[in-house]
Amino acid sequence: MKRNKARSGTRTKAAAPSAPSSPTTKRQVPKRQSSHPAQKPAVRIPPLLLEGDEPTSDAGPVQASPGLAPPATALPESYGTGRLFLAVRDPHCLYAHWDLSLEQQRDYNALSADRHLIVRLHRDQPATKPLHEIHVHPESRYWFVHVERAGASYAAELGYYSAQGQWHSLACSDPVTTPPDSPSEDKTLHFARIGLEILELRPPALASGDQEGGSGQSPARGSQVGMPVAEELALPPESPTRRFEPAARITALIVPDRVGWIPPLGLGAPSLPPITTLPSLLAPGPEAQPPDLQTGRTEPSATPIPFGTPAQEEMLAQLLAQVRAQPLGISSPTVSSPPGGLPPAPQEFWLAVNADLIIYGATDAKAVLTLAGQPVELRPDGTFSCRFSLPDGNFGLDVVAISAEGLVCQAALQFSRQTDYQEAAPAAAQEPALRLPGG
Amino acid sequence: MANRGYFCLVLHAHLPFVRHPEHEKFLEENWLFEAITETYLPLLQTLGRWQLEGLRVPLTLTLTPTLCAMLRDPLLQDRYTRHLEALVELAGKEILRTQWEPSFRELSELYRRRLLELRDLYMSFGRDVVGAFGRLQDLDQIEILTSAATHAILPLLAEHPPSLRGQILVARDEYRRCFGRDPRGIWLPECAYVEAVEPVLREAGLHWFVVDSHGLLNAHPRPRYGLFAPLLTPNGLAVFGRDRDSAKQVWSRQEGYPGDPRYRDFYRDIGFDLDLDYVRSYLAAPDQRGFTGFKYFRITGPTGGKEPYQRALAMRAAEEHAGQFLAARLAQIQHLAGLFDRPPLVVSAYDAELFGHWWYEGPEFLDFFVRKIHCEQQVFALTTPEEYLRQQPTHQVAKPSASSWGEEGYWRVWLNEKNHWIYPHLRVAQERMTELARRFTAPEPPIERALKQAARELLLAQASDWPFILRTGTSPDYARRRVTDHLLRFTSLYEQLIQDRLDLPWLAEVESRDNLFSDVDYGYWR
Repeated sequence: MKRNKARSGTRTKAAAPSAPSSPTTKRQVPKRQSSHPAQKPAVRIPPLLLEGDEPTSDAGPVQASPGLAPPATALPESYGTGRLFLAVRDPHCLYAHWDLSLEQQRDYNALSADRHLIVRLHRDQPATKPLHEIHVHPESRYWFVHVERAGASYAAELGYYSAQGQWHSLACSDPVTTPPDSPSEDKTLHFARIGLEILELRPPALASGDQEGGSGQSPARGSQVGMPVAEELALPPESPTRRFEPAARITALIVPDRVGWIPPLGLGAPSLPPITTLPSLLAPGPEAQPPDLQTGRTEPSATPIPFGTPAQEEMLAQLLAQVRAQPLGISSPTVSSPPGGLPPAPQEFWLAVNADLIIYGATDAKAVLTLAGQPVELRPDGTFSCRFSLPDGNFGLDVVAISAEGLVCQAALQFSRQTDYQEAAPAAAQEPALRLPGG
Repeated sequence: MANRGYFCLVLHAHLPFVRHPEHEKFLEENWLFEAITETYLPLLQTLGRWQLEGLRVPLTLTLTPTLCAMLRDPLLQDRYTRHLEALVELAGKEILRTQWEPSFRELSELYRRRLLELRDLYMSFGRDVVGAFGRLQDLDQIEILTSAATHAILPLLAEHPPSLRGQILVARDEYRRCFGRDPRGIWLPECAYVEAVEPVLREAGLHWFVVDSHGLLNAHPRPRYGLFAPLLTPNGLAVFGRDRDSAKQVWSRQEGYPGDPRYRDFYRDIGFDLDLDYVRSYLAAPDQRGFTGFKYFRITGPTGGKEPYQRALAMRAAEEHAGQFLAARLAQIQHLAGLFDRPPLVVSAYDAELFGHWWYEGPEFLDFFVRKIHCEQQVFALTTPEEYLRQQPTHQVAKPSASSWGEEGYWRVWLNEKNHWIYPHLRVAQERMTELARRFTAPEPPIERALKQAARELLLAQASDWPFILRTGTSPDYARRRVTDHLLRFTSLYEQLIQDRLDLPWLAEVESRDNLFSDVDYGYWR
């Protein structure tokens, strides 16, 4: 079609006419140019499907805390800056967001031949030929964009095609770079040394003039159980802050020497590439060999397998491959999360029947009362109330009150419980599903 | 005999800033209270014991700025004290209530003893948990790291460098206030790294950080020693990689130690099991069932039936697991030492709250492990990253790869369909904060107060915890409200400052609520 030919770049379209979703469910599948969305009846999406977990624009479920009423009670739907924002989510997913007001969006949609906007994805800079064009829903203000190449730079552009097939650019994002998803092929070795003087232990200094924290009743430092007294330490005045040298100097001086990842065959003996001192760290100078950790000596450690031999390299490669084969990230969902949470919901119909006994009464407020030999605190009026779990079986309970004058009053109680579950209901079924800690 | 390698244990303690003076009790404040009782105090107890016994256990511990702010806050200290007293009272009631259930009775007595010990410990250092950890650092027993001010995912702020400066430099300042010295290392929140953070780390005087394993393995050029030696970045920072094998042994949902049937079941709690009228006054929210910390069952198995928790059995499990963990590290380090020309370093990092809170026997596992290291082997020694660098200053130079330790290894947890709506608002707020910082260079005191509060509100809105909770769905309404509230407060402050119409009573109220980082320097956003 003529109009389509006028368009630059490869055009792709979302596969499913649904609300914006993750790239796993919405991949940009290249589509033949002949199908033009403007010629099809618009798909009506129930508003509910367009709702994420974001707050609604009215006061709705997001209320300000009681007693503190800021002038607004809800965040605006947009700020109307007209800007396009691109962020990296992972090596193969970008997040694009465009800040258009409802009116702006409506106006641009009306100008668009497709009745919606298009996000173009470029390698490196918007000036380049677009990799993809993503037709977004008329209401969308964001899209999760799948990208094939990890470790690559991308930029996004927002715009639309006019009825004449002319591309109109509305906004361009800054470029972003996705992380690599595999080890580098560059096996260059370059060593540097961190300056020892910056790693010297600095003696501790008491914080000065800090009255904010604490309860105002802190005892002398170090008086807690099991903690040596801090005053035993010599505490010099606060040490000065150390800062690094300007970055420009550093990057200029650490251009790595190109040496091979695997030393030449037959060397056998340890062979380290040149060592450079990182200038920011002010080390006194390069060493021939890194010092031994334990002794501080500069001789290399004795190794059963000579470092740098093919056998050693192969073992090292296998080891690293094993490490890399494991899944990324932590499998537990509790990463740095607040503690708490709720127990898992029961999965089947169940019944729990428990019984507690409440023993209550009163005596002279000055008396000493024991239940089952345990002292029980009386209320100011001499009353008491205690609860006992009553499992199946026969039980006795002695209640003894001794007055201030030594007079004794006592009572002996007997209880019995028998529970017959009619079906296979467990005796204590509140927890039907096992969940591992953190799981 | 010289050690053939080194093992570095890193614990990351973090909680979001949750403080609601406007409510008598607030459900989410219990996150802090549970963590103090179950993790921070037991950890202090264990460290103190090692110290007294002369065991040198170099441990690396992050205390995030928001956690420090809460632990030092007098209101929260008062509330925690009341919480602890209530638990002691409940323990007394439980001892009576379980009169005819011997296995539960034994446990309730154990809980009471434990709570009394922890209460004594807490009061003995004047309720200053941060100060207690700081003193252990002064004694060279532990190394405390800082983190970003409100645990923001730094790569998601990278397009706005003043936000990176705000997060890192405010954290550095808070560290100084808490510990009287400069931080040396930083725990990047969720190990989330991009190269753009490095200039700010350097500006803050930080020397090293940790990335997840693929952050190191995918470094450029390829790291010769894999995970088992740090790299030096071209910017002059040292970067350590988290070891996967040791993490998996402890943390894996399927295979991790905490899932052993002998350990205490986390979810089975009397707050859910017993008559609501009985437990109501001990719950964080009176009309909502929740955890009390009184748990009487062990994991038992994959079915619903649970058996009573047996402390002795669980302790045997902890010792066995510590032995297995040690054996695995010995095999790992010996194998690596045979391949390397330098002593390998294994960095094993965990959320601190795993030990004690999620995994009740975690502190005992650590104790067994440390004692076994000292008594049963001479192959490796414990170290901290700082100590390791001091002894081994020469390393390969390479650029780490952008990465995190979250699900799938990048930022999916914090940027997805459930939470993406936060970022456009943050983006505008961040730019407005810079606009304010540039506009007001020498403000009068009321304006300065408003600028500082605007910085606090922005920092709080940037916390990684809110998108995390929105993703996991544990308390989504609360997370949504927190993001919204902080952004609205920020916007209101911005408009008041721009329009020169400060509402001072309202400002005072906001200051009293979001009261962390009292000396925050809004100039970092310029």
